This record gives sequence, C-alpha cells and structure tokens, in this order.
Amino acid sequence: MNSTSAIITFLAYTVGVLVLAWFSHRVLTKKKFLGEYFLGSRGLGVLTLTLTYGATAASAGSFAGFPALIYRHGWVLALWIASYMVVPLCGMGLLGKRLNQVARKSGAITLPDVLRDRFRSGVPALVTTMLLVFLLSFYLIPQFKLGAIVLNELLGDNPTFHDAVAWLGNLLQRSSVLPADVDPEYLVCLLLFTAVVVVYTTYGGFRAVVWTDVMQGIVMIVGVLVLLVLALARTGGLDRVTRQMAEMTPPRTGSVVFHSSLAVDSPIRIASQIWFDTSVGADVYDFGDAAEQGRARLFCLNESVVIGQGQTDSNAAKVVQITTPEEIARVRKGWLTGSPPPLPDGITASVVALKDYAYGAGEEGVYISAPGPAPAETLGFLPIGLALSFFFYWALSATGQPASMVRMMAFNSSRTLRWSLVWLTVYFGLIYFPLVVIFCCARVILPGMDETADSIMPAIAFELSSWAKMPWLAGLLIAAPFAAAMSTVDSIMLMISSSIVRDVYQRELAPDATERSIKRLSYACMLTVGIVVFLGAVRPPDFLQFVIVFAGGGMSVSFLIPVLLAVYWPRCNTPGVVASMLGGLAAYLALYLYGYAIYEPDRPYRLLQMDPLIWGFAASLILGVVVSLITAPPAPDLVRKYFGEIAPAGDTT
Amino acid sequence: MFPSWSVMLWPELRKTAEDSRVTLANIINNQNAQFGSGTVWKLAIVRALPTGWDSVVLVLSEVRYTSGDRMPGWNPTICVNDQPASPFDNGTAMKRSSESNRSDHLGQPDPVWLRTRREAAIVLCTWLLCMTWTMLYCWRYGYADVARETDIVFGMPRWVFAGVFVPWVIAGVFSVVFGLFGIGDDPLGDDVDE
Repeated sequence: MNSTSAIITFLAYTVGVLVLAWFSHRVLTKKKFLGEYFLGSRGLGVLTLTLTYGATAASAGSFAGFPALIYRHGWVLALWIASYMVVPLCGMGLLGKRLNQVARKSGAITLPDVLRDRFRSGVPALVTTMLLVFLLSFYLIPQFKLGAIVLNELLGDNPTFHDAVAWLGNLLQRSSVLPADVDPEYLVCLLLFTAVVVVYTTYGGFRAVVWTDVMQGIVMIVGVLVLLVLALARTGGLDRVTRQMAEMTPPRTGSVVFHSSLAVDSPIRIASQIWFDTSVGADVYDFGDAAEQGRARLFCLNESVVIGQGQTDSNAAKVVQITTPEEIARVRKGWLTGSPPPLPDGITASVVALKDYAYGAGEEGVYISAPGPAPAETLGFLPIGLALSFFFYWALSATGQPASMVRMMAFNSSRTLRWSLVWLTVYFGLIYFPLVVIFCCARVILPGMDETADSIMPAIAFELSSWAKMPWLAGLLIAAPFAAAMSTVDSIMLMISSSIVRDVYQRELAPDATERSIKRLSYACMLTVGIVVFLGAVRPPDFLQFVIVFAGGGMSVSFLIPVLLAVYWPRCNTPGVVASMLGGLAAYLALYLYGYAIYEPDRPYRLLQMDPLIWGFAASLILGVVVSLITAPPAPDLVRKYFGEIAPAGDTT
Repeated sequence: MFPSWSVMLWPELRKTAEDSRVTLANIINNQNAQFGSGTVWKLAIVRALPTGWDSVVLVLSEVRYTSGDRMPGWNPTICVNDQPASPFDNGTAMKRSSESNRSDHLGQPDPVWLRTRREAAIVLCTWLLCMTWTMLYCWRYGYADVARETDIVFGMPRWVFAGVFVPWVIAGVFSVVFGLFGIGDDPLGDDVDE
C-alpha cells in the first residue's frame, strides 16, 4: 500500500475526531455536566441518532469477523445475517420511545439509573452496574486489539512508523516493565489507538462520541459502497461470481515448515500470501489421494514465517491448498511461466499436516447453498437450528445492547425516533447485504486466504484500489473498519465510566458531591478505564471473535428482557427484575461453561442446536415473570407514576 | 366545586419551570403560579369551556410574563379534570397534551405506555413473520440438494433471492412506512430534575 496516503488518511481522520471533541467540550462547558457528559442533554437529532446507533452497532466485527465468514463459507452468510432486515425496526421500535419516556420521567441518564427509579430500589441498579462493568470489560479488550490490528494494516511499511517501532522495540528489550515478547508493531498501534480514543472520549464526553460516530458512520457507508462498485466491476458482475462459486470445492488446510539446506547467516523472512507448488521443491504431505499423485498441487502460505539466524527450519505456519481446477488455472494464469515464483535460494517447503473440510470436501455447490462448508463441524457451518438462533440473535441482541439502550434514552422527540428508524433501515440495508456481495466477490478475486480470512478486508481494499489505479482509496477503505472499532470502543468506555461515577459514586457514596468533584472523577475514570483496557489488550485473550460474541450475547440476556418487563409490565417488581437479569445470564453462562468443558474452548454447548442466547432469553423471561408474580406487587404510587391509573387493581397485567 | 387539577404544560414552558404542577385555584383566580424553581409565572385564562359540572376543559391559550409580555413559543394547552372524560378526551385534544410527566394521568392509563405497547407488539409480529418466511423458505430450498445447482436470480442463488433478499426489501419498506406513519408522535415529557 502507498504508506504516505495511509498516513495522510489516518492523520486527517484523527484531526477530524479531535476537532469534534474540542467542539463537544465547548458545548459541555455551557450545560449541566452529568447530563451533558453522559447523555448529551438528551438532544440527539435524526442524523446523529441514526449514525450513532448504526456506527455503535457495527463493531469491528462487522468489518473483520463477518467478511472472514463470508469468504470462508459463501452465500449462506446471507441467511446468517438475515435478521438484520428487522434490526432497525426491533432496535428502535421495540423499546425506543417507551424507554426514552421512562428515563425522562425519572431524570435517568444511565441504564442503572432507569431501573433504580423505576423500582425505587438500589438493588437492580447495583446489579446492573456490576454486570455492565464485568461484561463491557470483556467486550472492550478484543475491540482494542482489532483496532490496533487494523491500524497496523493501515500504516503498513511507512518509514516513520518503523522508526517508532524500532525505538519501542529497543525500549522493550531494556525495560523490565513491559513484556519483551510483545510485537512492537502491535504495541505502537495499540498505543496510538488508545491515545486517540481516550483523549477524545474523555475530553468531549457523550457528544464527542456521537459526533465522531456520525463521521465514522459516513466513512463506513462510503467505504462499503465504493468497495461494492469496484468489486462488481472487477469480477464482471454478481452473476459471474455466483457461477464461479458454484464450481468451487473447499480447500485443504494444514501447516508447512520451510527448510534451509544450511544454517542461515541472517534471518530469512518468508512473507504471507506467497504461493508454491510441488514443482518448486515442496515436499508435500502424503494425503493418500491416488488421483492427486503426480499432479502439481498449489499452496498459499497464510502467515509469514522466519528462519532464525543459525537455524535450518522455520516454525510451522498455516497453509491452504486450493482444490478447484478453475481456480488453480486462474491463479496459474497470473504467472508468466504458469508456475509460482521460486522460493528463496536453498529454501524448500514441507507440508507437514493437511486435512479436508469436515463438511463439503470435494463437493461442488457448497458455497452457494446452506449449511455452507465447514472445516471442523460435520453438520456444516450453519445447520437450520443455528440459523434460527441467529435470527433471534441479531435482532434481539442488537436491541438489548446497553449502548443501544443509552441512545434510546438520548433522542429529543418521537419525531426524531421515527425518522431515524427510516434512515437506519436504509443505512443497514446499504451496509450488510452489500457486504455479503463484496466478500463473495473477494472469494473469487483473492483465492487461498481461508486461514487468514480476518485480513480479507484490507487485502481486498488494496487489491481493488490498486486495480482501479487509485492507491489513495485504500486509505479510505481501510479507515472504515478502523472507524467501526473506534465508534464501538468510545461508547463502551463512556458507559463504564458513567456506571461508576453516576451509579456508584454519586448515588451510593456521595449523593451531595459537587459538580466539580463529579467532573474530576469522570475524567479520571475515563482515563483509568482506557489505561486498564490498554494493559489488558497488550496481551489479549485468544479467540477474539468468540469473546466479542460471548460478551455481546451476555449483555443482551442480562438486560433486554428485564428492561422490557420494567417499562411495559406494571406488575414487574424488584425481585422479578433482578431474577430476570441474573437468571438469564446464569443460563447463558452455564451453557458456555458446559461447552468449554466438553468441546474446544471457543465453542458453547448448543442445546437442541440453539445458541445459548435463546436459552438465556427464555430463562430471563420465565424467571422475571414468575418471581414478580409470587412476590409482593410494586407500590401503587410507583405504578401510577410510570403507567398511569390502572383499574381495577388486579388487571395490571 | 371541582376536583383537584393537574395542568399539563408544553415543553417550551417546562424548560424553564422546575415543576409543572399548579392548582386549579391558581388558574381560576388568575393568580401567580409558583413553580419549584421560584420562578413566578402569571397564567392568563382566555377561555373556560364547561362541558358539564364534572367535566370541564380549559384552554390556556397564552402565557404571559409578569411584565405582561407574552411567552414566545406557547401553544394552546387543553386541560381536563380527573372525572369522566370530556368530549375532548378521546381524540386529538388528548394527543396534543403533554401527558407524560403527569403522575395521575387523569385517572387513566398512560397513553404513551398504551401506544408504545401496541407498537412493540407490531414490531414483534413483523419480526416473527420475517423469521417464519425466511426460515421456512431457506430450510425448504436452501438446504436441499437443488440449492447446489446454478439457479441464479439477479446474481444470487434463487433461495437467497427469495428467502433473504425479497423479505429484506419488504421488511425495509415496512420499516420505512411504520416509521413514517405507524409510530405516534407522542410527547415524551421533559427531564425531571434530580
């Protein structure tokens, strides 16, 4: 990539974000601190509500994990994401107006605030605060890592960036505080990402988050639409793409070790995405397939490897063998000799392990049908039960995210909600279905990336902007996932901070706290959250996408049903809402832990093929209703305040 | 004798007033109404429309400052008592009133609560309908062997087109129509001061 254009893109973007934070801070100084800092004085208009909702909902996963899945499993992802057809309707229509009204009645500015006043009890608020801090922290760390990874792709080979990396590398070697085995490139990007997010979120508060969300939302949709046009133009149309996908058979995946005949004098790096075949000295793992004996098999290296100084072998690296004849012929056609460029002098490759997909191996048509090819699951990628679960998952999970609920508390009128629903429908329609089309095209344009599919977004951005002879465009296209990560992170940081400052400090510890002390604590809290998450992301957990899905689902099962009961059901009481929150989360966690015990760490137990989220919702609803009914009803004046006069008394359900 | 009254005020006024509650006596006697913040407003009644001894509608057509200047942005506000509904109680008059912050809702359920409950039910039904169509169609045609054949509509496999794309477009159109015409323009009230 043209690193200069990347730097310019990033700098322009960063300056834009900081300018918006500065303007937000100016507004902040003229209004009441708490309400403005954490809720923007409940003043979101149509444009801001639409784009802040859209940008917050579209996390980095939408531009990293989702494209990777489309690339690996094909058209079935249209079914996987299908419930986004009703996400705007559910997200805004199910809860928006009523939650906003209830929050206004009580003057609430956070989710725990709403529950505290609705039930006139601190217990639901404290439980909510604890769950929020716990689950949001899980959610933040992978987002920071994804932001840093995207930034790393963006900065590429820029010399200034490499100088900074070299300086930090030396510092790490000399320092005993920072871990020496952390990749300095990653650490520099993480530091940059953290610095920008913490500064603008801390300085500008909710309004800065919303305004930057607007900018990020625009960057995202422009990026997607430009990619769509270029991808279709590059492939010759969707019809052609689908026909080529129909002929595809899933690849084989495995690992490869590179050998040098002599110990090397200086480290030799073999870049990711190079191709090799048996004609260039590859010693291929015997797959036992007689039909393939004697045929040159084509492999794509899916991660870079190094043969260290004084060594003869590299570590094992991921490799993909493409198996579709048409694809092999097309890749070979790109080389003058019909064979891939040779490996460095004296280097040979040994494919030491190779396996077929558990579902779809050798079969045509699997990329255009359900359940889609799968490397490990024998039932395929998306069995019908799981597809049903995802129809629940996206619509209800998006509605139940605390960050979405806070936005529902922040708009200024019913009219704003109505028009935002209209525009959000258009916005999501122009992002999610086109993403399926774009990355189906990517499967045809860039074969052999199945084991490194998380980087398909930047890879296709480079490829298409290079094909269009507009290298500067890559900067804009890669800014889209970066913006997605940023817009999610800022909202979550603000929520954690507001939970601590408003719901713990002001409500429980210091009800008479002055605005000045609250302001100082809010800033300190934001900085602390940023620093703690940065430290957590220096060594992030594995299975990032899994952690994101786990934490996102956990928040939904903890809050969606309780909040629905709280705002719509007059009979709901404190024990009921607490049981609903804890019961939903307990059922959800139990299925994850059981899955952890009997499968791999990144796979939950799916009772009747249903995602744990469905069982979490069921437990939350049943417990919320039953516990409310068997315990004392809420005080009549409390019911009257939020629901009006409901007579006769027994008819409150 | 009239029962006690709660007067509904429009948001323009309540931005500056700390408490929306005034009593009937304040209005009838054309006295200064004392709000929680200490701000004093003079409420002038232009018309009182009795529709029965127990059902009275007041129209506050204007609000003046103590200086005598009219308050800008004031909209005529209709106030009804707690007793049986007035002729204005079942139509646009009630919808125009800022009901949401009133604690007694004139002896009736909160209209915003009732309306949002209906809207939520419509949303859930739509979600259920979309799920039923998409799941049944895709299960019938997307998971079958026939799905592996190259049957393409608008560049998509036929089962994706009919099972996902078409309902997506229909759900989108419905969402737009529902946003424009299905969701009520209910006043949501102003923040209660902490």
